[in-house]
Amino acid sequence: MRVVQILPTLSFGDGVGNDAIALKEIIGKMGYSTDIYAENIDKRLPEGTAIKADKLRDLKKDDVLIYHKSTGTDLSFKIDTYKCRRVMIYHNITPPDFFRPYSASATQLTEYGYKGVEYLRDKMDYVLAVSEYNKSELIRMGYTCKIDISPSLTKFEDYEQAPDEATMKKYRDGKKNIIFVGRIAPNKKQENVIRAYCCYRKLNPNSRLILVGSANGMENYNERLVKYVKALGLSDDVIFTGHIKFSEILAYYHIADAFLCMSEHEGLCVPLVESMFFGVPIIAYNTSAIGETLGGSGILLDDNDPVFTAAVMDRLLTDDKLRESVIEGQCKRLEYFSYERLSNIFETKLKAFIEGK
Amino acid sequence: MENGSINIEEIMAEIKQKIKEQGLTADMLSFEDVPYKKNAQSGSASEALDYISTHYYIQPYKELQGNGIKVFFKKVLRKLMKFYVEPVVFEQNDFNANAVTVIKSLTENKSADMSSKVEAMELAHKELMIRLDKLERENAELRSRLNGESK
Repeated sequence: MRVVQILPTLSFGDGVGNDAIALKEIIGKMGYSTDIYAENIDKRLPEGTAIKADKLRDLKKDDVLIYHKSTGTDLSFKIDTYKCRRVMIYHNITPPDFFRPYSASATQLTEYGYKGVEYLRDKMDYVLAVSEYNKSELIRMGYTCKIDISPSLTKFEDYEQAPDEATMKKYRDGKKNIIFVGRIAPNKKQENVIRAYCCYRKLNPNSRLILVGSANGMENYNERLVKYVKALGLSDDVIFTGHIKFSEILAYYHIADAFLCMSEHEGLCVPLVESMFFGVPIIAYNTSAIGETLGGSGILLDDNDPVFTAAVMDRLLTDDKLRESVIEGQCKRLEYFSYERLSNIFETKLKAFIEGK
Repeated sequence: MENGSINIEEIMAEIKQKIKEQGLTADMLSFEDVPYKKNAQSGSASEALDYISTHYYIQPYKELQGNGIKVFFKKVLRKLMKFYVEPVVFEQNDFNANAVTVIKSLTENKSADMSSKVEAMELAHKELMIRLDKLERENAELRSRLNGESK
């Protein structure tokens, strides 16, 4: 029996791509013949990681096709042509309204993504959602098949690589470093992170905010953020890193004193898990899957008021007992995301589906 | 939400109470006040400018296509037309080169620079007005407290 995965693009270093590669390993260990099929395969990936999607043929009735859904693609409308058992892993799609003011292409892509999700609602046999939030979104969209939760796999050993020395040296200067990691995107509400920092800076001028993430495709939003920072007189203390190397991202986690997340839409939010790994205390606004990812750890805000957020940040950075307690809670929560645990969850769920339980 | 012996909800409530008592507000420029380019499309003017900057020089002769006989006749025709085609193409290339220079200088000219400066100043002005308003309110409050004490 074959258990194969299909996705539109298998990119190097991308969350969905990494998940597919990790799952391939697990499925192989389960004893099934497996492969990844993708319409576009990143050339930086080792030879043989994936096969071109048009070569996916001869799937039998009992075979299992796992489709990774995370963006707008024609592939969604072809999945039902494969006459086998169909499973979807739903990674989430950002609502198009966030992009509407800034990018026509991102708006169209995400709209098309939602159309694909809607199209597939009665065509999948089983769904694995990466969070409870994603599951509830699918139920709202009319999915009636069985949906289970199986969070994306994160290989923590990747984070043990050496961080970029130059970055560490540059920002380990006694200033408090507040960071947010995530691509520059309107759903991530970097403007609210800036607003909160603006208030915090009045309490502690010896601090800086570092927004780690690429602005690719969101140049208009990024430009607006830069103008905002300038108008608030914060240009010297707010840093936009743009697209950087993995070792530099690691360095920012190493030098961070707090992770501030004001995002209003996340299907899981892997940077929160990364912060847990690096022992960076988290303050996050309670929206979408954020609360679920934190699972009672970190500091969850019920209000995105910048004065309140700044006051919480100040307390966290000055109250050692609170800080230690938050980090301790995050360490415990990190166990939930351990590779062994999550791979076991995936294996159990997939086995149960295959055996028809 | 309880982490060890610390009750975070209690701390949050304490912080909220403190903010309320001190009457702290987020007096700052709103993100909505910041202008931005709406929905830029691909195939924009800057892409067109890049294209004309690199393609303004036209080659007078193209590679001749066809079988040997066709190519021979085309070569003969090309030689016969050379006296007319070449000066026109070179003249056109001179014109194109100057046109590209002018367009480029127009796009990078002072007016674009000025408008971004004006925009930045307007934003800074708005932000200062917010700060001034806050200071005036604080001033009025202090004055009324002082008056109260002196009475």
